[in-house]
Amino acid sequence: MSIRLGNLTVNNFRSLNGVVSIPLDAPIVLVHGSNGMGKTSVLSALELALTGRIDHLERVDPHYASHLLHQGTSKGSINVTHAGNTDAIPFGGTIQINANGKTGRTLLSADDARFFSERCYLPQSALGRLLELYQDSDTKDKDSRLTKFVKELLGLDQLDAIVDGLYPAFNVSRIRNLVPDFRRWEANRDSLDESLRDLRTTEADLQKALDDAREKITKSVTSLYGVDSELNNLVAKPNELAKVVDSDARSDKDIIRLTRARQELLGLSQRWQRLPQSANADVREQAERKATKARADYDKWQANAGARLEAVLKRLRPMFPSLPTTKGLEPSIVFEAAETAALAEQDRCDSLLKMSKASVAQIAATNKDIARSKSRLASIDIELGKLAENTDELAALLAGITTHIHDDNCPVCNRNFSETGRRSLSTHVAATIAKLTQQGGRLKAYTQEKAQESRNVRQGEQRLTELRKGALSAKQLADAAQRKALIDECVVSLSSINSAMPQGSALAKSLSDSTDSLSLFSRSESQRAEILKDFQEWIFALDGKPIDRFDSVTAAIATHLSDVTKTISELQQRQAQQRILASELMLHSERIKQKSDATKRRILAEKNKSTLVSAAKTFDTIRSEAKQISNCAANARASIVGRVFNTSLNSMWRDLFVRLAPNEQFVPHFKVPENARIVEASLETVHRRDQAIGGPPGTMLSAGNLNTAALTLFLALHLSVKNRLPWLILDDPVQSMDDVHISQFAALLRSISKRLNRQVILAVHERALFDYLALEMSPAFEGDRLLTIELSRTTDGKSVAKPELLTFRPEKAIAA
Amino acid sequence: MSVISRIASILLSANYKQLLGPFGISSVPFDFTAAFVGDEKTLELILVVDLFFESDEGRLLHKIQSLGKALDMAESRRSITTVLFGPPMDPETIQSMTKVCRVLNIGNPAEDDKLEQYLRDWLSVLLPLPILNDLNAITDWRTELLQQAGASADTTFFKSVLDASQAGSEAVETRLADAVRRNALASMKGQSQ
Repeated sequence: MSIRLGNLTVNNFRSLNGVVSIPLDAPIVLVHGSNGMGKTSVLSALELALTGRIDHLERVDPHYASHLLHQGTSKGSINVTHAGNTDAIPFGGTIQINANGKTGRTLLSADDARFFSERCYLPQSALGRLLELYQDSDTKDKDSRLTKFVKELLGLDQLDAIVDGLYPAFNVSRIRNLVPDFRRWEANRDSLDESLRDLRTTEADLQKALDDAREKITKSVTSLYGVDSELNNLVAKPNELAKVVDSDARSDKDIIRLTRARQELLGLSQRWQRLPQSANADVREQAERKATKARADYDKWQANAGARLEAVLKRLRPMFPSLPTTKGLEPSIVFEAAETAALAEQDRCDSLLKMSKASVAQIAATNKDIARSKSRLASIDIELGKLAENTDELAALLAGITTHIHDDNCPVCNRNFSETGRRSLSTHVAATIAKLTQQGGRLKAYTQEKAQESRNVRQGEQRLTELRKGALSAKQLADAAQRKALIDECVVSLSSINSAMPQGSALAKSLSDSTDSLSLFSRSESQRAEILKDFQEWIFALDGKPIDRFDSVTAAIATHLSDVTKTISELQQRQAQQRILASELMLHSERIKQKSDATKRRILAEKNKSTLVSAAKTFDTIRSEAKQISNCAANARASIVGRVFNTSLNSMWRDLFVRLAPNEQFVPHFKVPENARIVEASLETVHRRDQAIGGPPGTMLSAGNLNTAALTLFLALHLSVKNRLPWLILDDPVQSMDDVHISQFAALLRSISKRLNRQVILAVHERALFDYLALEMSPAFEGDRLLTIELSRTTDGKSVAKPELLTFRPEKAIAA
Repeated sequence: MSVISRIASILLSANYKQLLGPFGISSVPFDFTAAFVGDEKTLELILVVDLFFESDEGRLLHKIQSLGKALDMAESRRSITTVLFGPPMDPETIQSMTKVCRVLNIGNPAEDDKLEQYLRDWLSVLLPLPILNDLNAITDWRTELLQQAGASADTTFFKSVLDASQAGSEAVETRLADAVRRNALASMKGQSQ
């Protein structure tokens, strides 16, 4: 921005009394006034109107604003304008002042105002403290003001931001604090590590268990099925093998077969043991003899008593076909049956004959009764014919009429009964009713009697019929008599042989027993043969060999029973082993699954671990990148700082310092920070000729040169930064300078103004110096101007500013 | 190269013009070892005096005072700088001399490799101010950073950090945190259960 200040109007401000108008529109403005005339007030007023504050006053008195008004006045103001034709900043700034302070609008923005205070305006009071100012460390901030300036000067904010922002990358615990999720991630990683360890252990355990089980199973399979069995190949497929083995374990066909065989053998054995010992010939002959004798005895008896019994039975059998025969039965039993039947029939025949006789008598009596009853019925009928019918009904009708008979007039024919001359009508009717009622009673009695007799006749005829039915015919009667005679004879015959029956029965039993005994012998033989046959079959079925290789049947049975029992036991044992193997195989299968699951989980965990490892690498990469970027930023910063100080700022300061103090061998110098990560500026001195490093300026320079150092530092800083505001305002900076320094300073200001286009406003109190500077800075070319302001007071104390404008006039004394 | 030659060389390179031979003001001639005037921006008149030749200090002082008066008489606004080199002068003479001009008392420097810088230091007040415009160039931190970073400047993270640096260190820190968080969360989320 190339813009000059235009005009400053001050009213009642500090030492300025009344209104003072000061033109500023020139490249160089020299303000002169003896002490107390208000030079500093003019520059302070300018600062206040531009920035809203007066920095050097604020440093010593925070409440300085209430002392801004000129003593004895009640209000004041400051107005400043610029001479440029620009919209970049407002045309003017105006500050109102009263006893309470200041209000108003400044010409500069806050940023420009700060720049002005720091880089454009050097108040007199600040000059002496300038070195100290920049060396002072502000305890509140980590950076000294000088350091702050350096950073701001170099525009390294973004590098600082990078270095500071990436600072946590240098330490994992800072990363943890910065990113809580990272902490979680670490926990996750640790837990996964632990989990993976556990999973690997589990998997190894399961693998060992699997190996052991496989060995055991292989042994079992070999033991059960032999080395060559194909099942050995199925050990790797426990489920399939388990099915086969389980199926084998369940298949108990052989056991059932053998158990059944065993039971059969046991049963046969028992039967064999129960068989009677084989009879010898003597016993058998004795039995046969005994049987022969029994047969003879019985036959003898049969010829006598038995024949007689047979004869009776023969006569009785036509009547009693169900009578038992003597064959197979004891004779006494047959006898008793015949006797019982004969006696019963004898009783029946007797009874029949008696009943027939009684029936004939009853038929005769009944016929007699019927004849008498019929005779009585005939006489009753005659009596009934004599009696009128319906007398009772007529009596009832007459009785109904009586209620209508009130006198002798007949209610029926309406004739007067008295005409008959007999008794009254009512008496007549009553007598008639009585007569009729009597006749009714007789009629009823005859009728009842007739009914009774008719019943008697009917009942007698019925009984007669029944009696006739029950009565035997003549033939029947003859047959019954004949039958009775036969029965009577049989009873007598039976009675005659009764005593011989017990003997007959005894003989028959003896015969039966001996016969039985003989038949038992023969049956036992057949059973033995049968059992032996069964044995043959079972034993042959068991081993396919005939039984006759054994000494005895008992030995054969015992041997086979033992063998079968042993085989069953072996089979059962094998079955048990198969069951164990099958369950072991199922367990094995389950273990394989568990192992497979564990392996899957382990692989998954490893995959997750791999993800986390990859993330860890990425994290390392991020950190590494961050550190690298941070280091690059720090290096870049250090490089820039070093370069700037070595080649620019220090060079500028040295140049300016040497211009003003060519005799001084030590020049002030910014110490370049060596640590790339820290930017911290400090000051030192360096020997001009051999570049040896000296102490800080305060200890190495004279008071005058220290002042020069401060002044040139201010100018170097002013010139080193971007030309934001092209103003340089100095308040009597040459107070402690000697003539040499002053002349050098004048040349420097001239260069700054005329070569670098800065508007220079300079206040001096010394008249000779003022004149000298006015000469030194005279307009040197067309358009160049110099404004001098002479501050003074009127007799009544009012401030007066007398401006004088010098313009260019061609130099004639020495042509260029 | 003699001291006077070096001085002439330095001044000529700074756009001063040498007045050849004696020069006159209002027809009064003045003669010095060498004399220079500035360009159109300055009214400087530089007198270079070799004290080995101008051994009469009183005469030299008188000559300079006369020159000053002549300029005043001619209403000239030129300011005078006198560059003295050679044997030491009486300080009082120099003090008197400073009343009328700027005095650069160079003395009798050794002619070694530091002579040039020594002379430039003494004459610097007459020389142009250093070129300041290159400060911006050397403080171009972005270029510097990219140079430092080299190939790694191509990474996304670098660019992200560079973007964020405009907003300050917290923003950069946030980018770092984001990168770490994103990586951590992505790796946890990506885990099979």
